[in-house]
Formats: sequence, structure tokens, C-alpha cells
Amino acid sequence: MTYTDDVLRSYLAGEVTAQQSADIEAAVIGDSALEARLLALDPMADRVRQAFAALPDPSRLAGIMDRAHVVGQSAPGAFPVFGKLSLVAASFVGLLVGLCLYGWFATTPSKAADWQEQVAAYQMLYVPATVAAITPSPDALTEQFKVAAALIDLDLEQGALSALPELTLKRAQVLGFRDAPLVQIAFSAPDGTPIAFCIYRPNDGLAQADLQMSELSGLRTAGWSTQTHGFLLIGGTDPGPIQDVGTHLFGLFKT
Amino acid sequence: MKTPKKISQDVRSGLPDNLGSIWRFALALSGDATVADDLTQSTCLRAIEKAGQFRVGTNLTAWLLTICRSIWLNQLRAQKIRITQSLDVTPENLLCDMQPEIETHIFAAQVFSQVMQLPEAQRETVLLVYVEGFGYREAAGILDIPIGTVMSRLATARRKLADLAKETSERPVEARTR
Repeated sequence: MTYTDDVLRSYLAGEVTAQQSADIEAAVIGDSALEARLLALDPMADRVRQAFAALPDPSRLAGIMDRAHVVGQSAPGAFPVFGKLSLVAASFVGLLVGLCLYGWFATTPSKAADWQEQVAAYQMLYVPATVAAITPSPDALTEQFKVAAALIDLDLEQGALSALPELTLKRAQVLGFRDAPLVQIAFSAPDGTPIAFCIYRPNDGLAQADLQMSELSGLRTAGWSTQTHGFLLIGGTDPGPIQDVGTHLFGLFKT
Repeated sequence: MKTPKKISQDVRSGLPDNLGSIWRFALALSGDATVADDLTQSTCLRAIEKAGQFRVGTNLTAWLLTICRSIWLNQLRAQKIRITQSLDVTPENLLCDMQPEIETHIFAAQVFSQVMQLPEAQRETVLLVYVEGFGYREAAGILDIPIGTVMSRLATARRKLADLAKETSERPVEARTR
């Protein structure tokens, strides 16, 4: 049966009988064109779409990408998922803390091959706007490095990292992988490309490895490890900057 | 034919463009902006973990929203009910960012408020069809319900929203801005 636009408008306005409604809804199941007409005629669609047009705030999405699960501060599942975020975050000055995934990671182990794969997956969510919006005060940055260095048990060479000619230092934050700390130091390249220098300290040590250039998830990387720490510089698709900065950082952190 | 690695890369690179849709859907499901943040992030991580299961040629946004809903139903919904004792929404908390300085914004805020007060089932359906632009058939697939149920949920939601619009239009602007 063919329905006129007037009949469809009446249906959308709730002005047809229950039987007519049922007939139209049954007809839509096998008629994509009728479905498309109803969608186009629906006066409520525009109104609702406009009501949600301002959501979410872009800064909110940047914040979501920044969140991660906190390391080793409590037993798995000790924190409720909801309602504690601000309380815990406030207790770590300058340290970005997200608790939402902690319990889930504990109950649903990641199948990723190793920490570098996880770092690459996380870095993939970064866009230039993510790091462009980060503008910590010098004091806040120093506090971030202090907290991160203590947790990773390593001098993070804040002075040297602040003075890299190719990159602008943005932030140091503590993440975690398999109950061990993972520090992410975020940079912005001159063209805005987000770059991260990540340091992982697994509980059971690592095999020592020399500097190696590679690619993970389409991002260029420079990685190496000592017996206690793993290092990964990652970001962008241009191998040049990663090789240059990676070589420099290898000199700083190879022992 | 794409390799699993390439498919995985495609999923990851498609995530940033879909964050807004995931967040709005998460908000419609949970009725809570903070929970929506958590749900969005967990959806991204789950998608990365399960990227190999994405079928090339299908709609990535729909796949991500299906994951989002699955996490909500299986992990978070019961937790939220346990903590808040209900799934009631307090839209006033969400409206503060919208800054209704002019009439159109006031109206948008009122529509938003009314949508957020719909029952969860209607809210998620309205969001998918009206905001994210899915057809009835696609929304039915994401929600795992018959297409007729999608249409009847929308019909009910339309009635409620129309009632609100009528009430609003009958009130003077001054009263709406208070």
C-alpha cells in the first residue's frame, strides 16, 4: 500500500488510529523507501538534533582521552566506579587519574601483546588538539615530574626534556600496565603532532635491548630497554624526528 | 582483502571521529555526564581490544555504539542503580554548559531536558534516530530489538516531546528564562 505524505505526517503526529499505526509500522519492515520518507518527514528530528548539537564540549572529549587507570594505589576493585573520581584525583596534585577502568582491567585482562602495543593504542587517540590544550604552569610540571619519577624510580631529566629543540614539553602523567607504573611524557611537535615518551617499569624486569626504530599502529617509534625500565618514543608518521629525538633520549636513559 | 592488522588500524584511526557519538549515546544510556565519560573511554579501549572482530564494510559507528551499550548493560548499569537507587536523570547538571543566552538556546535546553527525562529505552532510541541519524532498521540492530519496537518507542517519545513543546510555547519567554 502507498501512503501519502499527509498520512505519514498524521502518523508521526500521533493522529491516526492504532490500526493505521500498526499497518504503517508493519509496512516499514519491508519497505526501505517508506522508512526513508518517514525519517525525512519527522518534525521532531531537527528539534532534538539541535538540542544535542552543543554536546559534548570538545574539552570534555580531550579529557576522556587523557584518562587512564591508576596504578597500584589500592587493591583491584577497591574503588567504586562512580563518584570517587574527583576525590581521588584531588589527592594526586598534578597527576591525572582515572579510576573508571581499574576494576575492569582487573576482571578483564587485556589481550595486548605487551606494554608497547598498549602505549601505541593509547597514542592513536591523541590528536594535535589533545596536546595543544595542555598548558601547565612550571610549578605544576615540576610536581608532575616529581610524582612520576618517584613512582617509576628514575630521574626523568626534566631539564633535558624541557630543552629538546624539536619538541615542546607538555605534561608528565602516570598510567599503569599490569599492575606496574608507566609514565607518559607528552610533547607537541612544531606542526602540532602529539609525541609521547613512555617509560615502563615492570615488576619482573626486562631484557636489555639497544635502540631500535620501528612502527606501531602506524606511528613511528624508537624503543630500547635496560634491565629495569622499558622506553618508547612514539608519535607521528615521519621517521626523522623520532630517530633524532630517540637517539638523543637513548643517550640520556640508556643506563 | 584487508589484513587483521589493517582492520585494527582502521578501527583505531576511526575512533577520534566517533568519540562525540559514543559520548552522546553513553549519556542517553546512563543519564549522567560523568558516567558517559567513563563509558566512552571503556568503549574505546574495548574497541581497540576487539578491533579484529570488526567486519569490514559495516558501519563503524554502529559497531562502537553496540559495544558501548553492551558495556553499559553488562557492567555499569547495575552498578549505577545500586549507587543512585535509580536511573533518574538530573538534566540541570548537564545544562549548565549550554549557556542559554538567547531564545534558541533556551528552547534547545528545554528539549534536551525533556529528552533526558524520557525512560532509558526511549532515550536511547531517540538519540540513535534523531541525533545520530540512524534509520529505524539500523537502530533496531544496535539495540537488538524489532524495528516495530523502535517505531513505537519513537511514537511514544514524540507524544511526550510534543506535549512539552506545547506547554513551552504557551508560557511567556520571561517565565522560561527564570
